[in-house]
Amino acid sequence: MKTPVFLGIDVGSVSCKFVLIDDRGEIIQSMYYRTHGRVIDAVKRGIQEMAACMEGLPLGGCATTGSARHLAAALVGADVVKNEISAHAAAAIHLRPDLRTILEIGGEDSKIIIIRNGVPVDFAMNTMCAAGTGAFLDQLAGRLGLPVEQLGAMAMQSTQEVAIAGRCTVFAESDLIFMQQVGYRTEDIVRGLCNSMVRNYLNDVGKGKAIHPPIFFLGGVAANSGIRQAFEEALELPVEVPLHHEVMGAYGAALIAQREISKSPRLSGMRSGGQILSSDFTTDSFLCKSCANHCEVVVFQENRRPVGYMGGRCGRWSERPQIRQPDAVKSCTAVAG
Amino acid sequence: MQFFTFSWGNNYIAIRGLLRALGHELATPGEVSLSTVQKGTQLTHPFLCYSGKIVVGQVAEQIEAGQRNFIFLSSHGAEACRCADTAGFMEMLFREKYPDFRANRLGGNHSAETLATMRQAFPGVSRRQHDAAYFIFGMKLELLYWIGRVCLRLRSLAENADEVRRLEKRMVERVDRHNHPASLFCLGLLFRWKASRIRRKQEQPGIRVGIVGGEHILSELDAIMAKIKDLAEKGVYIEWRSGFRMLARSAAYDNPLPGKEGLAYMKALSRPYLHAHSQSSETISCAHALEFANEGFDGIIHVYAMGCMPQTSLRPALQKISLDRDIPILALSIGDKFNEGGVETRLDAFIDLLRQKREQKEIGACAQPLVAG
Repeated sequence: MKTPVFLGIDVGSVSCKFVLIDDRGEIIQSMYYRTHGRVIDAVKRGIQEMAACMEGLPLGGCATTGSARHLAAALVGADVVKNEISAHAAAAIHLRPDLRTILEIGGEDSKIIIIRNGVPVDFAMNTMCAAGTGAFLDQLAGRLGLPVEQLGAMAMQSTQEVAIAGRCTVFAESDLIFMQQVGYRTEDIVRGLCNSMVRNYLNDVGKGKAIHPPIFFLGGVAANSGIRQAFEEALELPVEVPLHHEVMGAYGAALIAQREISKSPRLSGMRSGGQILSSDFTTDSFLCKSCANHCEVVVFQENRRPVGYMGGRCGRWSERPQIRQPDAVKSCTAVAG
Repeated sequence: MQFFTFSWGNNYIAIRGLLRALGHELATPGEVSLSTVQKGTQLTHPFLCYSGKIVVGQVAEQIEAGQRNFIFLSSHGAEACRCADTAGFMEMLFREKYPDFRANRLGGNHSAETLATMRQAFPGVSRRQHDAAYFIFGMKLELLYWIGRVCLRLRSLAENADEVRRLEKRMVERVDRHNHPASLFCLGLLFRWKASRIRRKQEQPGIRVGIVGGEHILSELDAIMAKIKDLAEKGVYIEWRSGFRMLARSAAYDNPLPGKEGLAYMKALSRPYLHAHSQSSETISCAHALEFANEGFDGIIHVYAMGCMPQTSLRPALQKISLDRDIPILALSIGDKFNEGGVETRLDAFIDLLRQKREQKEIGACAQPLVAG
């Protein structure tokens, strides 16, 4: 008899990640690609590609995570929806039970998670803006005319440190232009960028946190060896980048799905690949006029019928998107008008 | 005579009670919205705290609607808060452009001051009238605070959260309508009875979370509080403690609230974590955090307005409390750059963290908690 598999989907601000695991928690297949702002298409693409790997395998459960986890959950019919902090922690601790610190830098956010005795006890997320995240590197790599994937290797060839502002992408860009004009080597400028990013991270997200080894560095930015080296120099501690660093959120989601289903065994509610791919799932938005705030509310629609809502400050639209009964749909539409 | 002021959550109801006892009326402030905050930001410095922007914005909206006769409950002593002397602050902002703007001042640091300020606003007020008015004010503040706290707790305990919401709304309306001490006393009894009649869930909440923070959480756009109320309705027991009514009563009555409700007790409790000259706002929040830790709460959420100096300066003390007392603390700052998705993620992750910590404690291992945020 074939053992069930579990699917984790991490839909972030910049990229979409899928991980399929077996019942022992081992990764069978993983995928990472950019969403380019089209989340629904990205999820459908991932489902289509995953379907080939899942051929003939019973699906035990599915979980979503990331900033668009609710949208993804509505689209695929996920069994569990979990925040990305818990998801990253679950995966990292599964890989290394004695882990004590997770440093994570994603496309537009960054986090630190402190772990003690296999349990997260503290965390922080970046609060002010996306300076010092993948978006920061993307923009400045573009300015240098380099693919962002090459930045790490370039930084490792640096022979001289160059000081670049890390607090704001605009100021960093100004510094970068100046350094180019003065004649600094590109390798040195890139290393300066890496150092400023790490400095920004440790002064914002990492401020006041007790960072102890073993340390995992996760997220797409962890592929940049220059950033890893900068962390090791700043912390004076070894920093490890695990094999699947870029999909750890999705891996953690899959593990969480496995655990939740094991705790209370039930059939997965995930929709079939055919249903997901053939569904006409769209999003729209409207201004809620129930009070003077005029919040923008996102409507998830399937075949032009509202199936869920998200957004708003007062909480009236904060239910998890799910398939609604026709009456509830009508009443929500009436309020939305 | 009709007066105008800012809302400060529901606390304007208590001020209205005070004015009614003197034969005057207070208009209901308009709803706080994003445009209120934008107006407040335009008129003040961007670094002014979020609560200050809301307050200034609300006053500005009323002035633009033609209102001129305002009343503000202010403190007069040295405070870490830049807006403590609200009447003076408003005069500085609006008197030049609106020469007929009147910022009547109420309040003070003790009853001689509160009487003097009341006589400036309302000449000929007797000591007896002053005492009666402040008595109503104090009763209403206590009732509003009590109703808010109990209903927040009930949201996690009740089978039907709608019942709790309706109860809270109706009781607040009744507190506003009635202005006699006997009626207010009976309202208290009525609320107690009605709260006891709310059907409880079979399964009681596992995780207990305490909320501390400045009074600013009363005036915010109900976005973080909406999410916190959501958490309560999903079964997390939430207890909120704030010190506004204690400060107001202490000033008016010359007899600080006794025992564990009094500022003296709170100063003594928080002394190991704050310096001797810490002001009231951070002292109260620090003391409440320590009380939650002593009472075995699983975690604390510190909600504070962006730009609030006393609450921001409290953060290192809370980090130390978290380490010393083995209690995770989540810091959430509210401001006009509010990120709802980020708050939801943080709250979700914090509750997960508390559940795992509790499970681990039950297994027997020990973990060292820190301040999350």
